[in-house]
Amino acid sequence: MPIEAESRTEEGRAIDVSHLTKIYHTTKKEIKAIDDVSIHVDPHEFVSIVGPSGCGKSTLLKILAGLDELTEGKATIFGKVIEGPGADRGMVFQGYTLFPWLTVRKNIEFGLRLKKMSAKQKKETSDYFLKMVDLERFANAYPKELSGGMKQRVAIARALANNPKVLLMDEPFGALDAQTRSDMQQLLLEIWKREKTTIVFITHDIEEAIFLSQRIYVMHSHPGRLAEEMNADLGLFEGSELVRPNEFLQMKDHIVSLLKK
Amino acid sequence: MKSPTRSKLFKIREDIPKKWYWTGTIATFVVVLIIWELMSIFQVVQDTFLPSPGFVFTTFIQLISTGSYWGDIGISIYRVFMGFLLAAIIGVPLGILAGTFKISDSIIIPLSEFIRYMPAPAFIPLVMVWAGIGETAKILIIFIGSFFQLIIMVADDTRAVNKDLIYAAYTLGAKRWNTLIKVIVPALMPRLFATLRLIMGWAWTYLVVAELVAADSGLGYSILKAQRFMNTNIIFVGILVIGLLGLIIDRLFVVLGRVLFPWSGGER
Repeated sequence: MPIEAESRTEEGRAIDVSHLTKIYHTTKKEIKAIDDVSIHVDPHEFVSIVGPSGCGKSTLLKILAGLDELTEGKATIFGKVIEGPGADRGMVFQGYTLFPWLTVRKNIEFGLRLKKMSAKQKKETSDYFLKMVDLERFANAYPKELSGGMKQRVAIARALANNPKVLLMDEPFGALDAQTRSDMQQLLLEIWKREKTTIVFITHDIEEAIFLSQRIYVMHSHPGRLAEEMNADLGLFEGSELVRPNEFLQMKDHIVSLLKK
Repeated sequence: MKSPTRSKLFKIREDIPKKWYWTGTIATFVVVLIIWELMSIFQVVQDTFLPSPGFVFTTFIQLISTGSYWGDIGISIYRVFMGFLLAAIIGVPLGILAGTFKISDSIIIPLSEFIRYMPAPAFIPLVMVWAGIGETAKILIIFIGSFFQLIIMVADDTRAVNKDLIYAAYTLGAKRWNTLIKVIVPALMPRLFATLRLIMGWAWTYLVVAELVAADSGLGYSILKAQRFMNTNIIFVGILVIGLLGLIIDRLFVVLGRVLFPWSGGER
């Protein structure tokens, strides 16, 4: 049975998207945002999707999060068809989405409160993640007192505290200044290595994608199509230091040329 | 020397020192008082039509040392709060519903939009037929005047809640009910508070309308009564007292807002 064979391969995958098409209907016309895209993400893998604005990468992530519906094709998470949002897929957005009326700690505990976790467990969990993003001193601060980078650190902690199977990140560092951005990339990598989270990371920053990910999907725009899939786990970096600059530049140039097509 | 100060004070939408702000405010009040005083000193307008500031002030002192004026003030405040509370208790949930679910919007908003263009004072004769000239009538007029506006404004406030906050709640495992109660409602609170503050101002206007037409007590009635005997000084006091009460309540809203929502502001 072909169905059985298909589900067996999906089972072992954190995310499996096959022949996904997304069409938006406006009153006047149809707009094809994503055209026949197939991708997959393995457990514990860090995968980036790179592309210019309008390539449908954010839409794809929204569909994975269950915040948008696909038109054709199939999208599964650990073999289960995605139907609406759920706590198994945490998300970090580009804009600041902390709840402004909650303190940093309460923000991190938001998902835990929904799960009706005991007060002691909540405290332990939020303590752990506050420490992870180095914001223990700001546990009782309100979001408006935080800088942009700190806000995104809380957003990451809030998503991870919920113990999701997959972490979806939609250009989370897009609004940050260069220095903060590189600190955050470093921090994210450390967290990923320690927590073994499965991460799908959307960005239009090619260097960011190469630095962070094990695998990269490059997308074209209008309509959003897959251009190429490439392995980025080549040991180009040791820690944050670029040790193989030639390969790095080659890869970057290659992606740039793909995006120009 | 002159131009740097001027360029500092007239920067578009920039802050100026508090001292300068208050100087401007107080100076305006003083100038208005001086013009008023001069007009009565030089008899630009007859005393009967424009009593002097001093005369209005002594009338004010006389009136508030009588119990009956405090009775008028009390009953007016009571009416405003009852009308306002009634409108808020029913209108706020309806507005939140309309701003959250499109289907509730379709039921609530078009009708409210239609009714809010009907002037509340035009309902007074009808209200008198329905409810006489008792307390119910006055409260009903304040209610009619503020309720439909309130619904529409609260619905707008609700729609203004950043959709990404709702998405974030979903990805943290919140279902619809929790998203409404734990995200939309708290996110909406500061804006809702600002709306209630505005509506409170309108409630005062409708109070006076109601009391001018159909009442035998209250500040509006005291103004009407004074008109019959050409006691313009009492009319002035009545208007000023209503203004002062409005100002006090408005400031209370502002202070309460700061206490209740210390987290507000600085978004984005």
